[in-house]
Amino acid sequence: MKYKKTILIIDDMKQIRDILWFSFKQEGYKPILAENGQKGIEYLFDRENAIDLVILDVMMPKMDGFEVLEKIRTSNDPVSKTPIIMLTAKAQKEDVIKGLSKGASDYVLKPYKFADLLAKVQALIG
Amino acid sequence: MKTTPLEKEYQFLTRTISSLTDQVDLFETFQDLSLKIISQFDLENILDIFCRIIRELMDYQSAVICQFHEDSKEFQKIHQSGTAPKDTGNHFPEQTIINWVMDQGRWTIITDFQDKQAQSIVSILPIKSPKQPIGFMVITTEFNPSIYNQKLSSILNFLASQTAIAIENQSLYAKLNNSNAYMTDMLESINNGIMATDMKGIVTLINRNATAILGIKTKHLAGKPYGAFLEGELKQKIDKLFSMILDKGFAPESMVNHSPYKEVDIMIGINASFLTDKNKKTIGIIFIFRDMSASKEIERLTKLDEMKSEFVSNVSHELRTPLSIIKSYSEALLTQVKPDDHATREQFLSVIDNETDRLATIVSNLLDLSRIESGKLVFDYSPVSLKDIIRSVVSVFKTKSSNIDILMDFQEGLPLIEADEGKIREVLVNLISNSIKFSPMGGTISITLEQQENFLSCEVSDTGIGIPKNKIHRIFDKFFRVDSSDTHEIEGTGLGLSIVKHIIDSHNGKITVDSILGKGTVVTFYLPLTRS
Repeated sequence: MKYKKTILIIDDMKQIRDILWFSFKQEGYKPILAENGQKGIEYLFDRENAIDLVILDVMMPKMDGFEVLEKIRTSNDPVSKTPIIMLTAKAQKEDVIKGLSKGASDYVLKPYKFADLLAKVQALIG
Repeated sequence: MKTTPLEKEYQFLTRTISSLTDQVDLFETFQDLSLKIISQFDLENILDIFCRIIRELMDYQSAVICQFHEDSKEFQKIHQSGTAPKDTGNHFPEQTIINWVMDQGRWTIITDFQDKQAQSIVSILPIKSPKQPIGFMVITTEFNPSIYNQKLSSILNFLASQTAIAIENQSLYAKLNNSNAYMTDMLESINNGIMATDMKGIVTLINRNATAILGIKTKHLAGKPYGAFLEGELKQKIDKLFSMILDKGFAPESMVNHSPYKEVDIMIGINASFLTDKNKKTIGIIFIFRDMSASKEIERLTKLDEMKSEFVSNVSHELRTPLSIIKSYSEALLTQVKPDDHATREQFLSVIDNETDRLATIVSNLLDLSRIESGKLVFDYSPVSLKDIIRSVVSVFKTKSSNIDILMDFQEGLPLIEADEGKIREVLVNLISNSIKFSPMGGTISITLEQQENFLSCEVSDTGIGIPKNKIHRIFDKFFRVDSSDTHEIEGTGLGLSIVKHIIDSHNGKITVDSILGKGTVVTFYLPLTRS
């Protein structure tokens, strides 16, 4: 059986998680869902999951996407190098720059086109 | 005839005495004239007296006074007395002659006495102050050379120099007057109140703004101690500043609440500092009164502006979220969901349907809010029974939600209230649906209604998840949603309570929220029985 690449999706909106799960599954990926930043970090650092890429929402309660990004990138664990795509409804340029400067691999603005998101995922992990 | 030495000496003495007497006379004349001219402060008067004295001395036909411009050598006729005979009218001296006479600096006759044709005698009298040439006078008399002598020359030169000084004084005086008027205009146009006192607290100057801000009705304040027209806290503050300045040489800005007029309560900032003369000697104290309400207003507007930007950014985020859900689900439907997978199609379509409703609700709530805030939402007041409205709203909810108990407890014999029935209904729908939304595990909602003096108070309490203490004060902010990952699963626009508060405020009512995290929330609103 072909090895499926694992994508961790961190978003507080259930509908978004559900549709991303559906769409990535359709494209042959293995999606894992986390409804907040804390859980997302836990899943990522759990080697069992062997996550290949993270799709991270910015506007989330308690811990926002920038904070999650920083926690991941500043750790010493090898998973800190995992590619991360920021998914944000914030159209402001500063947010995009902030995300990239904190080490995001790429970003996609909401409302997104799944084809764009998929292309960026494929560019990063094939 | 031979004269004896004694006679010679006698004659010498007589001559000397006579000459001395003449000189004393001359000096007295000088002093009189000088006083007459110098005591004038009006240019016209000075020139007029100057001409009159000269006319008495030499009975001229005409006298023309010209003044130099301050910077250029050009001059301008400023005064004329009498008219020159026609034949000499054109004989105004040439510029070169005038310049020459000005350089000589003394009275000079420019008509040639030997000229047989001459009908009159023209002379130029320079008017020079010790500092600068001011102008000159062209005097025309009948052809009578005998009146021109040394004594007349002395008097004229003296008169001219006195006149020059008088003109100079007058111009300084005019400048001083101007700068006084200038200072007064400046003082009056400053938005702050200004009061200057001497070292004893006697007012030397006070502008209209000071009397307006401080609400002083007393007139003619200059010359009075400030304690004569100020009282209470204001006077105490000024006393304190006054002694602090005298003591330490400085005083920090001090604030005082002041009600100069009925129902007007303003915050005044007072600054005080020394006034010094040119030798740096302290001669008084100046107080500046600032009406702080303007600064407060700027603060308020700045905050409003910030809130507006935050609002716009919130709106765009709130609209984008349902939009991105609709977009991604419809995209999946079009490209990924298999035509025969009816279950998924139905599920996705219902998500789209829900999110479209949510968008519509956000947009209509936003419109409501903007109408309320701009005062365009019209309220239709009539006597209504709050009890009946509650009953009818509750009945709708009871049919919808099965796992929630809604209890009602109304005081007997409640009066009607003057209110907009539709809007009050909206308030109740919002509050009850919030209670249901935030009681995901079910529970009880109790609604009580009772009269408290001129108000009806309605309490909606639930046994839901509650609101953290530090979030309660923001609960009425637009788009504010309690920041918790658990609650974000609960749908909402963050606009409902803002609208509720606006509606209650528009009814001159009041709304309060109390909550214990994990136990439940109590929202109480009060509505007046009548609108007045």
